[in-house]
Amino acid sequence: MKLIILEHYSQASEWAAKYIRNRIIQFNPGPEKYFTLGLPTGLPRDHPESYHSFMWNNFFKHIDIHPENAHILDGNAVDLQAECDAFEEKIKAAGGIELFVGGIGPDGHIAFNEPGSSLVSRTRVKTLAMDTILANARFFDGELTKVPTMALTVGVGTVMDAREVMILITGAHKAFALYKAIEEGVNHMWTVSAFQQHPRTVFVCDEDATLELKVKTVKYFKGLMLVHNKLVDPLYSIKEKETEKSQSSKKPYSD
Amino acid sequence: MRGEQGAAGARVLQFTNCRILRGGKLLREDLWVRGGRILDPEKLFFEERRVADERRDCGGRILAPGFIDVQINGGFGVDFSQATEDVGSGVALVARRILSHGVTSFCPTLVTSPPEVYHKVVPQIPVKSGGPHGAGVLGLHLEGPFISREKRGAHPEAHLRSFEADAFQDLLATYGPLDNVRIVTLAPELGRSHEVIRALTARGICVSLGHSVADLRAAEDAVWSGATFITHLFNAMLPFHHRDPGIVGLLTSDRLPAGRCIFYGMIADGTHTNPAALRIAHRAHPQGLVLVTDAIPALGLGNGRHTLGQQEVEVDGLTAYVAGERPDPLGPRSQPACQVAHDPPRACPLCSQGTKTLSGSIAPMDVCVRHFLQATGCSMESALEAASLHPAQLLGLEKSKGTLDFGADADFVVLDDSLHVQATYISGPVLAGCGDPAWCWRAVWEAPVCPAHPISVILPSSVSPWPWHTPMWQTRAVRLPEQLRGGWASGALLALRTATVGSDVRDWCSPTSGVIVLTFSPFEFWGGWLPSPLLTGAVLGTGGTRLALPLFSSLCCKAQLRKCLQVQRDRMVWAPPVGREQPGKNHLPGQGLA
Repeated sequence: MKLIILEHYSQASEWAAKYIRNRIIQFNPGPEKYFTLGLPTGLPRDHPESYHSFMWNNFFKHIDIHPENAHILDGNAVDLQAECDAFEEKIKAAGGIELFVGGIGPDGHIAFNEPGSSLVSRTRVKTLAMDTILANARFFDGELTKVPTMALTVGVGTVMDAREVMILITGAHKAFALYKAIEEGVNHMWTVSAFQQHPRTVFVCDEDATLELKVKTVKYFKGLMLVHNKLVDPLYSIKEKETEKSQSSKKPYSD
Repeated sequence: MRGEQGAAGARVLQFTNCRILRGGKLLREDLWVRGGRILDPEKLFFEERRVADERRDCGGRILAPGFIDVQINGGFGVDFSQATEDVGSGVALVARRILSHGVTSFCPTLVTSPPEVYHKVVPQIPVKSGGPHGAGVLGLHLEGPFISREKRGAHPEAHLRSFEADAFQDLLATYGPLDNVRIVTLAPELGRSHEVIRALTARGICVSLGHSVADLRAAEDAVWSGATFITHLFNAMLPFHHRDPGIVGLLTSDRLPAGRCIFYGMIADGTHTNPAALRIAHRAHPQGLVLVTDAIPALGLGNGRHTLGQQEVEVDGLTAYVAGERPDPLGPRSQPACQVAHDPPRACPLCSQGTKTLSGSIAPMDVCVRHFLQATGCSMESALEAASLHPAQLLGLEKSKGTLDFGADADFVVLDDSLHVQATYISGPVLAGCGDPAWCWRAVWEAPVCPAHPISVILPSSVSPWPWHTPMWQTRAVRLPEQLRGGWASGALLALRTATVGSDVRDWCSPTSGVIVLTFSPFEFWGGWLPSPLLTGAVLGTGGTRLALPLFSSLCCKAQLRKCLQVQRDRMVWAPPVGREQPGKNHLPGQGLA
């Protein structure tokens, strides 16, 4: 695990963005080679708060991704389980997830895998815990009745199959979940802790999220920042073919 | 008419690198257009899984909904109130020419005229969609003849009428069939006006109050009957009085029907209303302000006499008056009060000649928007909405016009940061002869860039012995063609505050004509001619504008000056009053910005 601790939310976001950028460039995707970015999904599409709108406004409209390469779970499908199974098939067909980017809930869940989810679960329909509904109420004008109670989500097992996982944790309200995920054992009550058994995990957090960690842990990982920052050094532009040769000299750091 | 052009198969255009006016804000977003309508890109992405067929880079400019002008009496020599045989071609000419002002839809206005004129003209101006041929006609605006005698302004007294006898039938007898009519301006204090207002509103015609001596009570009653608009606020109505605000009081009246927004037109050319009055109205009721030009046929032409309806008007500088005796050739002094209709006329040696009744404006719409922005200090979004969204709301068209929301008609203008129009887009039917069933779509008007005929700017202070420094306020420098420079190498001066250097400039820029300088002299109170061995200057101070025209008396004669002015009329710069000039960049010879 790499724990990246930065001062503020904006710095954490920037570090994560640069890391993703570097990973995409190193992977050198092409027409046949997909860089699969996994993200947690859920709500019905035509809702303004749906993930479709969220992903469009915050991601897709700013990049030149082809619409056919964007797959979002459709909460309006007739047969939800078949939709989930098809999603798993699509992941397999694309060659597996290269990098999974996700957040963490205050109850330590990854995607919508609430406490008690199996650590080997796959994409499925999940009932949301009260905590999650409360957390999401801010998107629905604070009205609890409007928040959906079910969501389609990738399973913990699905995420564990990804070749690399990056979790973003910011804010003091996530501090306890981070503590449970890192410093305690693997536990299905804190599903993020499953990533202790993943070969390549990166946790990016800000200072506030480390409030519950041991000082020793924080100091240790802060000391490693010098090395970790090399991961986000700018690489050449993917469009500069002449510098392709230099790719071999920049190997991704791994522990 | 605009129809569904096989929407699924039509080309998708994406305008990138721009700021669009949406939801009252300038957002850094892309504008997607398909089939003449604004498209929701999210649906395109997720449902149709398509990308844009064509991307256009807007260079960081502003995309605003096309301006809608609900009061324009004519322009470019065309008078809508003249009963000619071919009214349609006149309307088409104006529709085409106002595209360069950013207007994509307009309501041709007819002033008070005899019934024969209405019967002849009204059927010849149908509602029409815009397109490459010109701006769209939304319907006619009939201003008069049912207006007050005292406040008729420039409308001829002989043709005023009332509908006391037969109310709505009188109106029908005067105008003829009302199919093409969109707005009617009348005075609510006339007898039986409420019946007429109700009948007009029932037919979907917008009723406007104007040219009236009504008090606030009468105006409120008219609004209850269905009136929704005020024609050119402050002009041709009783002035605001603290015990009886008159029609002006409608802006803040609490006796209006709930939820009804009263709109009011304002001519923001610096002359018809003092900027302070403009600010008062804007601050009192910003959501109802509609920018109109009230342009007369002299729009786009130059100084001299022109016809407006049944009247003769005189254009002098940037204002138009009812023709009386010719005013003093030196022009009015710099005090703005002289130009405003007032009685009795102030004791001023220059003001007593000619009539001083204003007769409509010759400021184009984009000039009005810029002046409005500068005078009120409002946000750019407010200024743009006042020219686009509010007129659309007045006419009930806010779903399709005056907005860049998804599903609206794709009529928009591309503006630079100083709100100069760079290009105008109107969606229209597929161009005839275009084999591709998809849209062949390009801007219906674009600010021409003519690299072959650039014109250079040299500041007066850099060549003349004159000690004063003339700041150039946001001027753009352009370079003179090589072959024309020889004669005036000693200091040809030209400044155009415009982003467009086009064929008009080519027309007058000939070896025999001089070069015209528009600068902003802090010494406008000098007036008259400024003697100088090299420069002579004519200062025309009018309203909120100050123009000093230094020119070479040895090289340029007055006739050519007039000719040049005619062409550049709609490109005149609006200078801030003394003391508020902003320092611009000093352009030295040879340093053109093009």
